[in-house]
Order: sequence, then C-alpha cells, then structure tokens
Amino acid sequence: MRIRAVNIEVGALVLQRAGLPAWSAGQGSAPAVDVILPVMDEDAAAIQGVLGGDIERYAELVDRYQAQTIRLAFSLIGNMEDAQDVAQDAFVSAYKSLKSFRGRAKFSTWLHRIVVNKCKDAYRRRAHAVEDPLVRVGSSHAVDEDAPGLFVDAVDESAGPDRRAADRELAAKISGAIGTLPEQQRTAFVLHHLHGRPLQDVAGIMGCRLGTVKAHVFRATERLREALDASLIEEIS
Amino acid sequence: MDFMMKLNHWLGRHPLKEPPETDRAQFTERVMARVQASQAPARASAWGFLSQPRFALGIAMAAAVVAVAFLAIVPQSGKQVAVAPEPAVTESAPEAVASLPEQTADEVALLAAVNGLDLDALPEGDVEVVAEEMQLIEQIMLAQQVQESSDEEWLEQSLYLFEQLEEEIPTDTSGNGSESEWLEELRLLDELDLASS
Repeated sequence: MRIRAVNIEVGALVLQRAGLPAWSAGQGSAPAVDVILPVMDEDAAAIQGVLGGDIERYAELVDRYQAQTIRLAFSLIGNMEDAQDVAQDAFVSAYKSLKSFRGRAKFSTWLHRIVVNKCKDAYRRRAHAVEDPLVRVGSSHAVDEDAPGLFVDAVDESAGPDRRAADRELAAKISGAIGTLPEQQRTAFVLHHLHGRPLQDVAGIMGCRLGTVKAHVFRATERLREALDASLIEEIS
Repeated sequence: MDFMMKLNHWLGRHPLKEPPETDRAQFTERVMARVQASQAPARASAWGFLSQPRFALGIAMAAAVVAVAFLAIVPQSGKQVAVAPEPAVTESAPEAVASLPEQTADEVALLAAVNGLDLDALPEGDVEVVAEEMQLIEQIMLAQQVQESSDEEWLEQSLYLFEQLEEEIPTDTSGNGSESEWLEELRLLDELDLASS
C-alpha cells in the first residue's frame, strides 16, 4: 500500500468502513492538520466517487481489473466467452454490493471472491447441462479447438513441427488435468500457481483458513503429479 | 528436479490466454450499460424491490386474483342488495292480499263440485255469506256422515254438531232423563226428518 498525503475524506471513509474512528490513523489523538493517513489508492477514490453518485467512475475499476478478472474466470471454467460473461456478471454484482464493501480487504480480493463464486455457479450449471461427462469445465475439450488448453502456445517458430505438436499436447494435458481437479483444489491451485496470488490472499478469496488453502494446493499438486505421467514429467523438465 | 518446480517453470513459459484486446472497450461498455440500468447503490430507493421481476410478477398475479375474485363476488352481492328487498315487498304483499279471495274461491269451487251446489245461486261478491254457506254445507255433510257411523261415534259427532250449531244439549227429556232414552229420542227425530225430506 502506498503512503501519501491524501484526501482526508477518503481515508475517513475507509476507516469508518473498517469500524475505526477517523482519527485512529493518528497516535490516539484527534487528527492534526498534517496527519498522514493510510493511503486510499485509486480504488478507494473510485469507490467513494461511485457511492457518492458518480456512477461513471465505476468504469475506472472495470478497466483496471477486467483483464485479470476475465483471466481468472477463464482459468477456472476454461472457455473465454463464458469467462467474459462471468466476469461481466461479477462486475455488475460487485457494483450492486458496493455499499457492503467494508474496505478490510483489497478491492481486487473482494472482486475475485465474487468471480470465484460466479464460476462455481457456472460450473454447476454446465455440469448439469453437459450430457457428455467427458466434457468437463476447464478441460481441453471445453476450450478452443485451434489452440486447446488454458495456455498460450509459447514454442518458438523455429522449433520443428514435432516439438510444437508435443508442446501443444502437453499444454492440453495440463489444462485437462487442472480441469479434472475437485472444485476447491482447482480454485486454490489456479489462484496460487497460475495467478501468483499469495496463499493468504487465496484464503481471503476462497473464504477459508490458510491451512485449508495449503491442504487444497498440496492435494491438487499430488493429483496433477499422478495425472501427468512420467514421460510428460520428463518432457516438462 | 521437483515436479512442482518443473511445472512452475513450464507455466512461467506458457502464460494464460488473454481476452482479445479489441473486446476490452466493449466489455467496459457492456458492464457500464448494465450498471446504469440497475439501481445505483447510493440512490437505491425504497421502492427498488419493485424492479425485481419475480416480485413484480408476484404482485401482478396477486392483483389479478384479487380482481377476478372481486368481479366474481361483487356483482352477486350487488344483486342481493339491490334485488333482495324487492321480493320482500312485491312478492309477499300481493300474496297476502290475494290469498284470501283466491283460497275462498278455490274452496267454494271445490265444495260445490263435491256437493253439486250451484255457485250462481250464491250471492256474488259477498265473501262472508259464501263463507257461512260453506260452513253450513260442511255441517250438513258432517251430519249426513254421522248416520253411517257407530253409536258411540254418532253420539260424539252429534254432540259436536250441537256445539257447532250452538244448540243446547238436552239434559232433561220427557223420559227418565237417562242417556239411552235421550239417544232413542234423538234417533227418532232424525228418522222423522229423513222421512219428511
């Protein structure tokens, strides 16, 4: 969190949402003129603006977080169009619930929690709708046929066709293995290993304890190790 | 090398797919259109719940049910209110007025048919006279039936007849005043009457 002298009203808003008196940012006394409040970044300013009636300021938040939100949804449900729909729903739900945002966590954490819940709903809807049990959300079957899997094809153009084909096959198998993980394990693994979120953040997003998140990530890793056979492991290395 | 390290290495070289860059502006526009269509959280009115489709549908259905029930019940109750007093006046009053002459005429016609009386001979329009005539006819019919009954019945019916005719029951006759003598005398009188008629 950046520290800077900021709009005192914004700081007071966040402190109030956190259940603290506005002057608690100081050393237990009433705020002096030169008090430096914990910074309310652009997110807090935009949120205050929206709550103050300036709806257009919500576009700032959408622009700022849409890419990672869509990416998170895509990594959880494995289809870009569905991911965009889920992300859109998540932004609208976040807007409607903005008054309940307490400011205790980062806006991105709060938003990603909404995304994860939306993905669960989408996953369950599709799981009931899909007739073929082999077509799983997040599996290679659920993504584009041109470039199957969750990952960008990163093999050099200079590599031979066999090498590119093997890399694509591996990408599809890893995507498929991630897609077959149980919901909680998949969410924890994707957030931590694919999106680089710290385990503490993952616990906040998933709404569970840190130990639980660690257990989910560990079990997911073990399952992936079993799913990706020895030859693939050699290929990875 | 540990499996997870290998996998992380591979993942580092193969980033997740990104949404198309061209869609970003459209995405924001779509979200903002939905946001603006919805109620602003700070401006949400107390009647915001009315915009919920399920609630609106529920209200509409309830209103329709109430309207149908109202239309079904009110006309009936209105008829009851508007029409009910009329029969009380229009139906009962004529019936009370018309019943006595009609009943009298009917009974007279019936008795006349039974007894072979000529109604034309009766005074016209005089209900009281007609009623007296009817009563007299009934008494005569009763007297004629008495002769066919047993002695005890005949005695009772005779006493009743005397009572109806308001004649004194003879308690003392020329005989010894016993009941058998009185009955014998009465029978004799009847026979004389019948013979003379």
